[in-house]
Amino acid sequence: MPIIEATDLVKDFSRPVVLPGRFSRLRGLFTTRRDVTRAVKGVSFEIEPGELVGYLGPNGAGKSTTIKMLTGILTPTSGVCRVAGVEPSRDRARNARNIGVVFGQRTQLWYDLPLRDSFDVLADLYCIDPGRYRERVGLFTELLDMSDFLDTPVRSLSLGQRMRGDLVAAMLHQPSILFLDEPTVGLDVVAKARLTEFIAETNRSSGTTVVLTTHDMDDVERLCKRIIVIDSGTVLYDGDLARLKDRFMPHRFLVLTLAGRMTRPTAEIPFATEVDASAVGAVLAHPERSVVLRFDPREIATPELIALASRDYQVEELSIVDPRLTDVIGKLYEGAYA
Amino acid sequence: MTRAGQRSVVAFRGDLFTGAVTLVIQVMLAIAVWRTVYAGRPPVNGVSAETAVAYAAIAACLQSVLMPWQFSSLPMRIRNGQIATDLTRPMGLMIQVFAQNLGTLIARAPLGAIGLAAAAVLRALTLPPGWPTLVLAVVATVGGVLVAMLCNLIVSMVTFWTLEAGGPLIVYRFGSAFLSGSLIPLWFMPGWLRASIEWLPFQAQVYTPVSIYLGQIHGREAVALVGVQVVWVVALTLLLKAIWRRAYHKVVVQGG
Amino acid sequence: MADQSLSWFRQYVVLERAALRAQLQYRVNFWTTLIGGVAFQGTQLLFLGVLLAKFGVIAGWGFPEIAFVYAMRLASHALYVVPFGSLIMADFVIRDGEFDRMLLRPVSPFLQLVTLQFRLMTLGDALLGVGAIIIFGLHAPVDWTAPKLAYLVVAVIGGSLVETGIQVFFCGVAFVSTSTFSLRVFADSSITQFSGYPLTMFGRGVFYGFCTAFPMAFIAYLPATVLLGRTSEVPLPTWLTVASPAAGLAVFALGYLTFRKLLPHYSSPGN
Repeated sequence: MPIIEATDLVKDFSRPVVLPGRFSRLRGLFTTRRDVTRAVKGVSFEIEPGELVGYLGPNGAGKSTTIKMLTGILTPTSGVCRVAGVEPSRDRARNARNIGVVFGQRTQLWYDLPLRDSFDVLADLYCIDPGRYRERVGLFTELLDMSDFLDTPVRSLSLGQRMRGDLVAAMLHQPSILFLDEPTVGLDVVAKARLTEFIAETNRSSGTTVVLTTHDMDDVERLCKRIIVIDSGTVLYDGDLARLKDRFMPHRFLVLTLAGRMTRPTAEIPFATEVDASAVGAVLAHPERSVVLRFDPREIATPELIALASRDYQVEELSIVDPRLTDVIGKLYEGAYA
Repeated sequence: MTRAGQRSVVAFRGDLFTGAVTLVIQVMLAIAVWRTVYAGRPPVNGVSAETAVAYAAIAACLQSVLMPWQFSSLPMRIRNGQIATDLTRPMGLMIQVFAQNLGTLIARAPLGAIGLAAAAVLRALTLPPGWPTLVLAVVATVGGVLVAMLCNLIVSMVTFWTLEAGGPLIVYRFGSAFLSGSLIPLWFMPGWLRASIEWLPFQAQVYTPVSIYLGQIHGREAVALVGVQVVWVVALTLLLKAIWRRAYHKVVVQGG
Repeated sequence: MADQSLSWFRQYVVLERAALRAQLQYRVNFWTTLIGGVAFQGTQLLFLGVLLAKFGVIAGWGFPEIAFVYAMRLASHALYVVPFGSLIMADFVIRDGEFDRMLLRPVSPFLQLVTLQFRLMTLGDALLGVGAIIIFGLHAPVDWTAPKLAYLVVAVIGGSLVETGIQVFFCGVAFVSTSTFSLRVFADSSITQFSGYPLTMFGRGVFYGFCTAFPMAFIAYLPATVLLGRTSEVPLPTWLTVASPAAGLAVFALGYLTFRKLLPHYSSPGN
């Protein structure tokens, strides 16, 4: 029984066409011509309880718009969505009680009050039992190491601190579903790792369904088994991450750092194509004496290829590089395999 | 989340359309009120109904042009610290701010014109009794504008000493609207009130030019009033310089 | 996962308390904001005072009557602005997309807009309203009896509901238009400027406009005519004039309905 259902969701935005000029405001009040943009063009998917799904797409793809419909911020132009059995646009308050939302770009905390006060207010508004509330705040404070700044006003918090605060605020009322929109944007490596680990653990231990919207491919690889990719308002791919790679970019790269001068091999290595270093996307230590070979592990086993390459080249160092998720997704956007 | 104070400054800036509509409504209201109040009476205090109505309309327009919501860019510069670099060229800054004010005033002139047009449509405007009067009225208007700009600048300097200038500025705004004679011409005020107001620079801003234009004040008396304007311009400039020196001292020497 | 919810009143208390605590972080000089608020209204009253000192009456109304109507409006305004003053910030919140967070909470977005800020400066308006109605009420040519006092209270409440309703209406419009703040300022300044005048003096057409398109007449003028015994001057059936405080409920209901109806059109700008 899916916990999130989206069926043919469509969202149109209409803006009055305002011609620039001296009395644009005045004319704007009276104009009847409107520009309609269809941001979401019929999106459907189902998410089962306990899943941790990555929702990906370039800017302007309709990601945030979809999430906003699922969280009750926007009303769909047509189509239906159901979250935990509730239609968000019809029963917004009830939906709000079932979900927790973090928008990375904006905080939901009370800007001028100490962090702790925000939690207190939310505890009241969500009718959280006081004993349980104290328990959870204590637990989160420890898990996320927040005791230092619980009493600091939110406006004085660093980004990482604020993000942790927002995450806790979203989880205080034990929602069964978490919507996280760019929760790690702007965070340093350590903070990012800590947050993603926390999300993974939450999903694992309490079975909270998580929908993660992000541009950060590291996060996706670390957390998501399933991804939904959206572009220009339509779903391009919905399925396993592993299968995505297999389908769109089954190749791997063998990066050879040669000893001494570059020498052309006398024979071509079967099943391997030499490619430009840029295909790997990593910075090569010694670009002037590197060779990058692309191969399909289904055609030739990796150890075999290594053996062949070592025979033909004087190899000082070698490494295997898997395609980056970014490149895979990029391919997807290009519609190369549409 | 931007603070409410910042927001109100942004909101009030340059919405000429709303300003124009508000002024037109104000002018229409003033005309209606004065016509009703006169309602077939003979001249009061030597002032005919037409003159009183014309005064109300013209004075409202003039006051609106002279009093924008932002008196100068000084408060903003002080708030965001730009003033520190500005003060490396103190004299230049003063002139720059003055020029900006003038620019704002000129930008608001169309507002006043629209108000006057509305008054004309309602047949409330009258022409001056003669060319000499018109010339003197123009001179008086320039004088009034100068006095107004100087007053605005001086008042906006208060931001150097306190960030919470909101209250005093609003008091100034509405107080000077009354004291400049834009709401009620001095002719109708009780003696004691009139006498006190005559000592202040505000009546030079609106009352002087408009009453000269309407020929209500003429001849020697009119010239004398223009003379008073000149005196105020000089006095206020000196005052401005003195305050400016102290503000400069405060910022540069004390790092305030 | 709690399924019950707090009563509206309790939610209001919780949110208002938070807003107050947030406001107290800022050192706002209470007196300057109070004086600022008073200055605006005060000069209007001063104008009327000086005008009528010279001319005696306007459209047959003398200063005591005019000041009384003005005071009624000030009292109504105070009753609107103290609890509902935050509504004027709605335009910014909606335009910035900050409104998103209100939709994410299990609380009525209208209630959250109302509790957005604790506006200390409105206490100045409150003092002004109370002071004015007491002073000018005592000087008004009204034979004060218990029923009349009760009617005054009802009228002031009705007037505040009209003003609140207009502001709520603008909140609704803010979901589909960006020019609402200017409209608000314009509405507020219009009401302030026309307060105190017997609205019939502007001609019948304009008067009916003040009863329908821009229902200002119901704020102070019409109930005042009842208390001052001047209902004959009003080109409306007497029962309607007497029932004028009820218009507040109608305007508020209309405003709130507009708000609810246009809320789904919120487009959550920004990312």
